[in-house]
Amino acid sequence: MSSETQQILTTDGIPLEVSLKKSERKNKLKAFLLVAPLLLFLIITYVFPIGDMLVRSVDDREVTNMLPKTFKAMKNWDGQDLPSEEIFEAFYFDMKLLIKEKREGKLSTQLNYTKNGFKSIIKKLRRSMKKFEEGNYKEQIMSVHKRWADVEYWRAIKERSNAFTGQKYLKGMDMYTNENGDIVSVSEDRRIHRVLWLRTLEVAFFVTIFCFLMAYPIAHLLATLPMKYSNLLMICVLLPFWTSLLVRTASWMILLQQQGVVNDFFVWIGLVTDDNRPEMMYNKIGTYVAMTQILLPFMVLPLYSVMKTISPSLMRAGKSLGGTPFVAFWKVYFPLTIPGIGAGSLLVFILAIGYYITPALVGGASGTLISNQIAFHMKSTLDWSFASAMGLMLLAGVLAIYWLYNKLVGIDNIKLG
Amino acid sequence: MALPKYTEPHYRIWHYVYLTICASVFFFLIAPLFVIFPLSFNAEEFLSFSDGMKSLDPDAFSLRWYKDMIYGTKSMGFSC
Repeated sequence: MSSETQQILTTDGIPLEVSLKKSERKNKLKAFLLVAPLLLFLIITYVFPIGDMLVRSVDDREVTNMLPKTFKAMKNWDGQDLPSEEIFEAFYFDMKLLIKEKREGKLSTQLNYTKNGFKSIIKKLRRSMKKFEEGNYKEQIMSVHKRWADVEYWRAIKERSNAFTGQKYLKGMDMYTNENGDIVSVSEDRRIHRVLWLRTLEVAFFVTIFCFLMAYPIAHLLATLPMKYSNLLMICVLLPFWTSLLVRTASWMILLQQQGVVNDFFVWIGLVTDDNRPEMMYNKIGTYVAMTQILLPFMVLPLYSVMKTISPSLMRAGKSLGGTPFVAFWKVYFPLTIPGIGAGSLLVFILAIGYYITPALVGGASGTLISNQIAFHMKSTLDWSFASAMGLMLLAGVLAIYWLYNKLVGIDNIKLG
Repeated sequence: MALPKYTEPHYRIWHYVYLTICASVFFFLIAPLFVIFPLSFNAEEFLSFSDGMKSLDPDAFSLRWYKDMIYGTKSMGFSC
């Protein structure tokens, strides 16, 4: 009986359990150290930038820290009528400090994002404030410019009072919080972002469809041809990969412009007259054509790798069992290629939804996508928090599509090679 | 890809249609890449074929862009 409860010892006299745990811990540590560089790499290049974007898109502490007194005084202001003298006074002292530290320019840029027109009135205020007398700041500030007497502008300042805000996300959806605190859409003629979101989805969707329609036959040809021909054609598919994206886009500019090769050809065969050349670039057509051609290899390769694994005897079996070639194709061959279609479509769609260079160069005004708008805010308006918010919305959209795909087709049903 | 002798005519037709489709897709995929090569000999600064180039006038062609690339000049830079 006692031998059962007795601990089993190793030859060194250490209980076996302890010894085993020790050696396992060592192995675990070793395994962790082996993955650690990759984990670190992922955290630095992937998790950290996205986290930074997330923080940047909601962080509004810069403005909150610039006008501390004003926001404190504004706490009980309901935003219906003009603010009281107390708020004006707090604003005056905040501004005084900012001007002393030469930071009022930053404030005006930030407030301008919320409401246009702040830049000039803050500049004016800075000039006039030197001559301000003590007391009755409300009158003095309001006399600088009529916009300072407009309650809308004070409401815009109050909007920035929270250290963290979701306003940028609302702005990305063309919405804002009105004076009663309700979330409403902006007037119809100013809903630019919704148009861009829808256009991005539309372009990505149709580019995927076009790519599929064009890639399927050539992938099938590549997979069924004898090796010596298919290798040569494979090089043709891969050739675009060896050329810079910018060069490929530039060649589409040469082809599609009004004095371009395609239009010359149309005139030559008499399809259009010389002075009536159709506009094929700087609109949606340009974006569609160029993006389809550039993304086509991404659809061909997964399809090819899946088709290569399908045995030709399956089609023969289908035919010998009484099916016509089309029935055999539709009932046997096509279902087997679905993992490749899924992989290619997902790849092309996700690449297309964030496409930037090609729409920027051949898209013009009606062919630009949401990524161009993000780039515009990164480079021109320098509203990085807005750009971050839109970038994250795009990421959320891609994840939603991924989730939907997983629900409908199943992510195991995907094959890249 | 040779068809067996017993192939029915409409499948034979379909086979050639299929090959034509494949050929045009390959053309769509590859042709734009080759458009840019002759343009690199353009004597002018514009990103289009000049009238001289279309009529194969030797004066319209030059190696100035290759010269620029090797020696480096101010005219470099393709801004978007």
